[in-house]
Amino acid sequence: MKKSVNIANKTAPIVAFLILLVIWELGVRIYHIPGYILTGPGQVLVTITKTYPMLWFHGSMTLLEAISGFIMAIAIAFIMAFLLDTLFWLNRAVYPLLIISQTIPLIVLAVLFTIWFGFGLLPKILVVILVCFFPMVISFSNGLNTVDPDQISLFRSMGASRFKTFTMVKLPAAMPSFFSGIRISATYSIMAAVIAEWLGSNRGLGYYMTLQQKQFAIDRVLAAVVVICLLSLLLVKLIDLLEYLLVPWNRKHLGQVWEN
Amino acid sequence: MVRLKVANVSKTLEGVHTLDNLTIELHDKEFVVIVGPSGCGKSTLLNVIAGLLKPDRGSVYIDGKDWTGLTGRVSYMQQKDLLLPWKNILDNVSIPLVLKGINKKEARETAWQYLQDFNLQDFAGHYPRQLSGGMRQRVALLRTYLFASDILLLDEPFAALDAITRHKMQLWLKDIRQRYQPSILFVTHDINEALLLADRIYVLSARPASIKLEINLPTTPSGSEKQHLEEQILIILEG
Repeated sequence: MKKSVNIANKTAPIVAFLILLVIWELGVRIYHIPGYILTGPGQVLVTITKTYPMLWFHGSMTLLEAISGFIMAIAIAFIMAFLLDTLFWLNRAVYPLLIISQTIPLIVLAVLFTIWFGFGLLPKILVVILVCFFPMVISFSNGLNTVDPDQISLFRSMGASRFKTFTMVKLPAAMPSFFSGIRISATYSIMAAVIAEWLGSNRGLGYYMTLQQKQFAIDRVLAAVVVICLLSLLLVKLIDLLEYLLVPWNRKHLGQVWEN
Repeated sequence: MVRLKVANVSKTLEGVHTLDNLTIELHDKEFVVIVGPSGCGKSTLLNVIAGLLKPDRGSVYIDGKDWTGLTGRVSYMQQKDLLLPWKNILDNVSIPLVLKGINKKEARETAWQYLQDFNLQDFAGHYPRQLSGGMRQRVALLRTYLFASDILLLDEPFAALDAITRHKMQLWLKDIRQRYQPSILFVTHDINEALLLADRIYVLSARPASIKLEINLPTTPSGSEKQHLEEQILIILEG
C-alpha cells in the first residue's frame, strides 16, 4: 500500500509533464502555428540535437559564470553571516542595507556593471554574486540563531570557549538552513548569469538567445531554455548530493531503534 | 564532609526577586532533592551553582573553594537531553572529554567503556533522534557524569517522560547512584520522585524561593512514614 503510494508520488510529476508536452505538440500541429511564433517540443528536441555544439559553447560559458559567482557568493555569505552573528552592532548597521540592496532592479545593475567593467566575465560574476548571496546570508544567519540557548548554556557549563561552542554547536546546527539557502541560490545563479549575458556580452546562453530571438528562431531560443533548465536542475541535484554527504544526520530514511 | 555549599544566595532576574537568601549543603555521596512548585526558581538556583548566573548576593563553595560565577566544575543536566543531533551516541558522550582537551580517540575509548557500563553500547552508532526519550535521557546522564563524576546537578531530568518510563528511569538512577556514588543535587516538583530518591529533601516556597523545610529521610521509610512526609510537603507547596 505504502509502496504503491510512493510510486504514484514519483510518477505523477512525470506523467503531468508528458501530458503537457503532448498538449503543446498537438496545439502547435492542429492550429498550424508558424515556426517563428512557437514550435512544438518535438522540433525543440530536434534543434537541440542539431545545435548542441553551439549550445555547449555558450552553455559552458554560462555555467562557468554561474558557478564561479555562486561559489564566491557562498564564501561571502558565510563570512557575512558569521560576522552578523558575532557582532551585534554590525547586524544592526548592515541588515537594512542588505534588504535595500535587494530592491535595486537587477537589470539596471547588469547594465551598469557592463558599462563599468565591459563585456567580459567580471560583470556577469558580480551579478550572480549579488543575486545569490542574499538568500544565503539570510538563511545562514537564521540557521545560526536556531540553536537552543540551553544547548549553549550546557556547553558553557562544561567550560567550552565561545569558539568551541561555535564550531561544535552553532555551525553544525545551522547546516540544514545553510543548505536550504544554498539550494535556492543555486537555481538563481544560472538565471542571473543569463540575464547578465542578455544585457551585454559576446558569449553565453543569454547572448545566444538574443541573437536567435532577433532572427525569430524560436526553436533555438527554446532549446537554450531547455539547457538553462537542465543546468539549474543539475546544480540543485549537486547541492542535494552535497547535503546528503555533509549532513548525514538529517537523512529521512533513518529509522527508530526500539529498546526494551 | 560538605562537597557543595550554597551560602546565603539571593538573585533578582529581570526585576523578579527569584532566590531569597538560600543556603543549601550537599555532602559527600549524598543524594539531595530540592522540591518546589513549578516556576519557583529551582532552575535559577542550579544555574547559579553551575556558574552560568552570578548571584546578587551570597557565594557558591565547592570543596571549600569559592566557585561563585565560575563554570566548568560541576556537571549539569537539564530536562531536555540536549544531545547534538549530528553526532552519534558515542560522540555525544565523548563531548565532555573532548572539551576537557582529551584527544578524540582516547575520549571515544573512555566513552565506549562507560557506554558498556551504563548498558547503552547497542546505541553507540545511532543518532539521538533514533532513540526514545528515556534512552536519550540515559545518554544525557552519562554525558553529564563524564564531565564531572563527583558532583551532579540534575534539573528535572525525567519531567518530560511518560509515567512508566519515568519510574524505570528513577530506579535506574538509583542503581547508577549505588554503583558510582556521586554527590547528587536533584531538582523536581514531583514529591513521589523526591521521596523515592532522596537522602535529604529541601522544600522550597513559591517565588522568591526560600527554604521552608528540610527533611532527613530514614534509610528505608515505611509506607505510613512516606505518606506522612508527602502530606507535610504538600501542605507547604500548596500554602
